Amino acid sequence: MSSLSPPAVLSSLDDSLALPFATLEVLKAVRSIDVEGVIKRLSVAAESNRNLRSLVASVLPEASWQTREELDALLADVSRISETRSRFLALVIELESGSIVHRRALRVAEVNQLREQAIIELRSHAESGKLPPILPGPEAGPWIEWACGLKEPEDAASLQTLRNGFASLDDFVAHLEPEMWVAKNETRVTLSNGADVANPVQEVQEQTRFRLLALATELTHGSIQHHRTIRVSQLNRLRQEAINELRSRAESEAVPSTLPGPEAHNWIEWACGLREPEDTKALESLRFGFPYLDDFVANLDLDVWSTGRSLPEEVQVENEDAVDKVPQEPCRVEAAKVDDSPVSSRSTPIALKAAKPSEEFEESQVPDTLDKPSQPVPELNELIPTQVTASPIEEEAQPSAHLETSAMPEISFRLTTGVGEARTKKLWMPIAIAAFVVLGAYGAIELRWHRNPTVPAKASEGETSALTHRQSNQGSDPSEVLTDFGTNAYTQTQAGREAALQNRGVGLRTIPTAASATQATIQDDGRLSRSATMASNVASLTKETAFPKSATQPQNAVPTGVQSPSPDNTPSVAKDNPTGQSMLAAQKLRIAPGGVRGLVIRRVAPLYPASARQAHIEGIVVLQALIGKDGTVLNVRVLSGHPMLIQAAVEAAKQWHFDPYYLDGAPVEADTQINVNFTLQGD
Amino acid sequence: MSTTWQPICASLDDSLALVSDSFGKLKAAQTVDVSELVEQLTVASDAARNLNSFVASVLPTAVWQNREDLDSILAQIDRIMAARSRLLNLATELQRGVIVHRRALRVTQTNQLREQAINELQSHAKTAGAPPTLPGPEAERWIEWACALKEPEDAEALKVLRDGFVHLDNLVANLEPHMWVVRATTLV
Amino acid sequence: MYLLWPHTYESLDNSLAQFAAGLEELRAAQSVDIDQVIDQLKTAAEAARNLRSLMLSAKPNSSWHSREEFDALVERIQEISKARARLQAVATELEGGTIVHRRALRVEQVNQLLEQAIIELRSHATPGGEPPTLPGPEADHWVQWACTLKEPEDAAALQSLRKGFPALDDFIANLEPDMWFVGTKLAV
Repeated sequence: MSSLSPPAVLSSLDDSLALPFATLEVLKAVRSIDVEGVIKRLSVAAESNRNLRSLVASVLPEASWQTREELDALLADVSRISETRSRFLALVIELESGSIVHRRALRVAEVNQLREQAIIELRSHAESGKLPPILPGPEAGPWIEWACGLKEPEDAASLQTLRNGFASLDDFVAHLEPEMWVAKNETRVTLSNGADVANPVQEVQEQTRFRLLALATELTHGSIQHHRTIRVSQLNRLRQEAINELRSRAESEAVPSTLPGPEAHNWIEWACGLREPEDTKALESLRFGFPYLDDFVANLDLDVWSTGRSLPEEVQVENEDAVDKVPQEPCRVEAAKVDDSPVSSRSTPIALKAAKPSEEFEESQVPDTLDKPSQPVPELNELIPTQVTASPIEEEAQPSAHLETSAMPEISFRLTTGVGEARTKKLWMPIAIAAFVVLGAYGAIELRWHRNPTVPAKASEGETSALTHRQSNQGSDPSEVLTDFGTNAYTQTQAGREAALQNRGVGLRTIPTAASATQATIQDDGRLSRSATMASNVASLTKETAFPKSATQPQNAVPTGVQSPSPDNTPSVAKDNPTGQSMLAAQKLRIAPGGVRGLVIRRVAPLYPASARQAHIEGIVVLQALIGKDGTVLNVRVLSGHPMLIQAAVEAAKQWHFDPYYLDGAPVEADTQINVNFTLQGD
Repeated sequence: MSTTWQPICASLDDSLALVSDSFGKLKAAQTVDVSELVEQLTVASDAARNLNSFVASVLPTAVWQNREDLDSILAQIDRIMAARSRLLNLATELQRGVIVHRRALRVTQTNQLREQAINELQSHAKTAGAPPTLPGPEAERWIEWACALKEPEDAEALKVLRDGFVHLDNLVANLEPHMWVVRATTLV
Repeated sequence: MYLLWPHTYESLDNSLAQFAAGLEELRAAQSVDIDQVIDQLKTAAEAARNLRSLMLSAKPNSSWHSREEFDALVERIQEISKARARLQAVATELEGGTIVHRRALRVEQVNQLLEQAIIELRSHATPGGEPPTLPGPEADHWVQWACTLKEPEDAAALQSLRKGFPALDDFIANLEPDMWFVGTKLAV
């Protein structure tokens, strides 16, 4: 078919015939003419004549006409037919580009077959040499939605027209439910609850990946308790390999293997209960799908495993104020009140995000201490990750967690994750960092002391320098690490951070009482060391940070989670768990991305706003979400993102549901950050 | 033919018990009413024959040598009857409901599938031997359950359904939850 | 029907008609032999050129803008031709007559006037200009008519004759009706 439109070709013909017609009159008047000029125009007219005839023949091969009037009528038909055919082909494109989704593959196949037939029918009508039938309805874009809304008897006329002209298309839309159709650029990925699933298979895979990550987090949370250090090391090594295996499977592009067993928080107990030959099937599935994990649980007795979800009841950090005052604050943990026994006997798992690269994770900045407990704890400033997106701490920030320095330390934390509540002023954060590092260093020192009695002597060097160094870096880094996991764009960097964080153990860590960090500090080389002046330093810190009750800290008080010199009082967790030590050295409590990710039990992906899609707007919306004790999202605050995408991201995040975060057996609220990445697909 | 075997078995056992008593008396050289004994034997024989026929009607290929075997077969028959009853209950449930859709074409087509499914269930319930296993809950909740089956999570159940009840599977594959309306039963 | 140059006129009009038909077919997007249309154009152009030449040769300084003007010009030329032909006819008629008088001297004088009149007539009948209008009837009755002209009744005709044909007027003024013989018959 000629690429020219009928009006254009007709206009060309008429233009080229204007001079010959004028020449006719001139010749009739017996006047002279430019014969050559007229001949040229006649040649052009002949060309236009041919084009017009071809155009008509391409659309209506059987058309015939005698006069110009008949030609004009035919051309009107041709235009109408061309428009109609274009509409058909546009609808064909729309049908071809979308996809059918249904819970049943059988149904998908059936409806896809109907779709193919409809497409063939539309093409046939578009290419026919006859006048095509009338296709009722709007343009191609909204046509399917319109057609799926047709009802009998209200739309009987439209249905009759559709049925008469497009029987196959009518069959297709009769069988198509609106929720079964996914247009080309629509993003529909939801956790399955039986409704509106865009891609059931993908969703199942997504759930499987979440489950694997949840178990990896569960493994990271927990700790090994054994009276033999070598056994703890062995088990921790197996555990790390299992964690790596789970993460690798979850993040692999291949379909993840199905993990037998219950949900993450019951999985280890279940796995440790597997027996042969009764549970052969499950064991085989575990063995073939996750050999490293199987090795770990095969070696693990339930009585040496301690989960990380609840803190020992002795660990308490009371956070009186400023939780509501600082817009960005680290994770804190609310725990039950502790008794006044030395905190050194408690285990204080602390979520840590350190800056040193780990051997275990590609882009982690966390020192690998799970299986290398002898490695030095990094310095304070190195613990601050480079990809933190929290805003700098304001000088007037009040500490969100203060240390109870009375004789009866009662410490409780409010658990928030990531850059969370704007409740405390930012100044307390570096102070708290310093306190945690001190306590963590103390814990590390205690560990070394038990392993190598000479360590404390070595560790006494640089006792204040690190603290000073740390203090001097208070304002230089955004000290908050965000639990940053995107819904769709989970980058490797994020994975590395997540892995690093999980390596440290996620979540339920308490801020040790700074006042009782009498022994630990961080040396310049990053190792924890004892410091006789730590108490005063910490006291000064607490004063500076206006910890309300930090003025009088008993010298013999030991920070929560910090090990006392006495090996008898040293908790096995702290002594035998390098993760716990490095967590003690952490600055803040937070839920690692992987940790929160593992807690997600229902995640609703946002619907791509039509206006943003049309404008080809993509980007990440960063949200701050407060997770309630029941796991629901209590509050969502927008941190950044394109205005056209924000609403959809917020609405989706509000529907998310998490496993509640537990501390000391009780659910607590938690803050986290959610990155929602809007990406147009198929463009 | 009785649909349950318990009365027949009870009749057999009762008559055999009486026969056994009579044998005991004979053994003890006591007086026995022979005609009554014959009558009891006849009753027992009839009961045994009825029971045999009953078993053959349900399991034509069943064979047994002793009472234990028979008990086992009868237990199997119980299961078969229960399975058949379940199929018939579901068929009834399918007949009870109404299919609604914005398109009459869909209503007609789905009703046709429903008819085929009902016929299939009834056919399986009448066939000798054990009917295929119907996965899922009881009839009242079955359609709701079946319409929620997804692939691949419920692949196993779907395979069982597909293998045993092709038409029923076709129906539930084509049936959306909002298309099925159960008629409310009126209580008088 | 054109009396002047009819063949050329017909050629022009025919070729124009064919050319016009070809253009209409082109305009109607009919299948057209464009070479034929061009030939028709050329034929029409040639015919027009010929007509122009004829016109300019008939009236060298003529100009026109339309077919009506050209037709008017052609009509005028035709009228002129007719006028010339009438003068020639009158001249011929005069040549065919004989002057008869009792006096030879009178005959000679009138014959001289006749000669002048004939010369005048023939002079006016030559192409190259527009001849004066000769009043009166056709040639064969002209002399007879002219001899009957009287003053003052026929002053207009006599004025026109005198103005356009003074020699002829002299001849007529000197010709008595009984002096003119055509053939052997007395013409007047």
